[in-house]
Amino acid sequence: MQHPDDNLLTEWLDGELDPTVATELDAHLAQCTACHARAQALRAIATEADGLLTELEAEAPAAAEPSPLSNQAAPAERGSPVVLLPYNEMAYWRRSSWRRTVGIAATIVVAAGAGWFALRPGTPGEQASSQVLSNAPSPGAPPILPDSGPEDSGAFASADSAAEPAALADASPGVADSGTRASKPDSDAGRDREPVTLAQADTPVPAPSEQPSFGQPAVTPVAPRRERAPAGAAAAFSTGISASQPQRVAELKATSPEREPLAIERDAQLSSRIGLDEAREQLGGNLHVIEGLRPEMVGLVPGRLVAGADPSRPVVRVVYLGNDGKTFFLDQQRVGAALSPAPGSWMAGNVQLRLHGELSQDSLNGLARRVK
Amino acid sequence: MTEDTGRLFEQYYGSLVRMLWRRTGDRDRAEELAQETFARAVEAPPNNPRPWLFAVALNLVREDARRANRQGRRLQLLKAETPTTAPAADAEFERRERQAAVRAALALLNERDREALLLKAEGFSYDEIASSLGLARGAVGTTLARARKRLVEAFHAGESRRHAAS
Repeated sequence: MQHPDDNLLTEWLDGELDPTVATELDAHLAQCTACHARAQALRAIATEADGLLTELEAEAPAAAEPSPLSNQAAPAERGSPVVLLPYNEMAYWRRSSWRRTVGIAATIVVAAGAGWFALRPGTPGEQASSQVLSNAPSPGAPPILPDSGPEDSGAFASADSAAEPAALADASPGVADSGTRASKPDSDAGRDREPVTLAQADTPVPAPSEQPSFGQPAVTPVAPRRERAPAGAAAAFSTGISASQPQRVAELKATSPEREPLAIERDAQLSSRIGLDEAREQLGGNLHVIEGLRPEMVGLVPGRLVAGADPSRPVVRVVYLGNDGKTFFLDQQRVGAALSPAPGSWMAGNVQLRLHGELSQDSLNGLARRVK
Repeated sequence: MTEDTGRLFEQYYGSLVRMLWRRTGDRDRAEELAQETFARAVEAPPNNPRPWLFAVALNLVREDARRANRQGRRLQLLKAETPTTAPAADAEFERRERQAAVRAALALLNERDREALLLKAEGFSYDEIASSLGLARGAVGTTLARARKRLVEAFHAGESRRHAAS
């Protein structure tokens, strides 16, 4: 093989080189000290450049926090003085057609909630509102219509279902536990409904003092483009939590650690989130997961940031969130078959796996046995 | 539309804002640009969403920068970079100084090098970088190597000046 140029070496460093060429280059670098030194120098520069960009990242995730409410709640976490300026919600609202689009959806959710609220048994205006409901496309509100069974409890959530159907419906058994505890079956409205999941609890439900009144459309632009807020409102209905139950909302929030997806993404050091297809592509096979647990997200972490990983390739990181908000990760990286696994890791074919995180070693060992 | 826009938002919004914030240094502007990008995705759903979203976002940044130059808004952005609130602790002050230095070094790169670096930092593959920036795939490695080298050199030069001045 001829001496590689910087382009080829950079592709090799970034794990972008064709495997056949990479093998040839490996052999060449093992023999040619000059090229080896150049590769080392390029790697050092790449590492330093990535490190510099990561320094900017220290402030960036906060930018992506999806809720203006949470922005106001935690100004001290902001990295830049810019964020200390008053948040001009209406200016955003006017500027962004995306916000308008999501805001319309939120309005529908809130309007549906207001209708349900007015139609609770024994409240005034029941008759008039029943007529409205009878024309609605989803006539399933349990407290009103005698034919509707528990399975119809998602009637109000239906306005939201287009946005996050699976996220609200699915939850791992372990994760669901905490949510179930948070939603005590002490009210008729909530008894027959789906148990609250942590995914639902994770949505930024406003604190009692900020709790929007669902009868007042003036508060509808609740984080319009920030998809979590309308979802949270709908989740409150689907879990039997209404605007008249701010205490339960607060309880739910208090028992659920404040872990926004982007905060989790930041903590997990993900450079990007990926889907299953891309994970399969990275691994050359199926993604490994912990049986019985629902991953919070899947993403890529630069190999150089992961102990024991091949620094030239990204690591696929499956992120899990435990009942108590602790995160743990199942790292997986396709490596050369000849390599022996790094300490704390094990091999599944040519994929190196490592489970780590904020859990005790015993817990991690138990979970490792459930990795499929 | 190959993917639901909501799912795209969920999947890429954070990454897009992060990239835009690195690029602009203005959190609010980064969010606005990200939202504008998604608004365009709603109007014309892309087939290959990730490169499309980031390419559109970078185009918006370029347009925004031209507009900002005309309006002299850069001065405001630079002002926003400077801590003007209560005096930060030394460590925090130092962190902000370094971030300003990194951002200044990044600003010295040419547009293509800077964007290639930012996309790579968001986990883009070479194919995606090439697609987003309109580069030949074979030129991505060279571009990245050059961009990294210039970034590091510009940063060290800036740090030397800073230490010499202090």
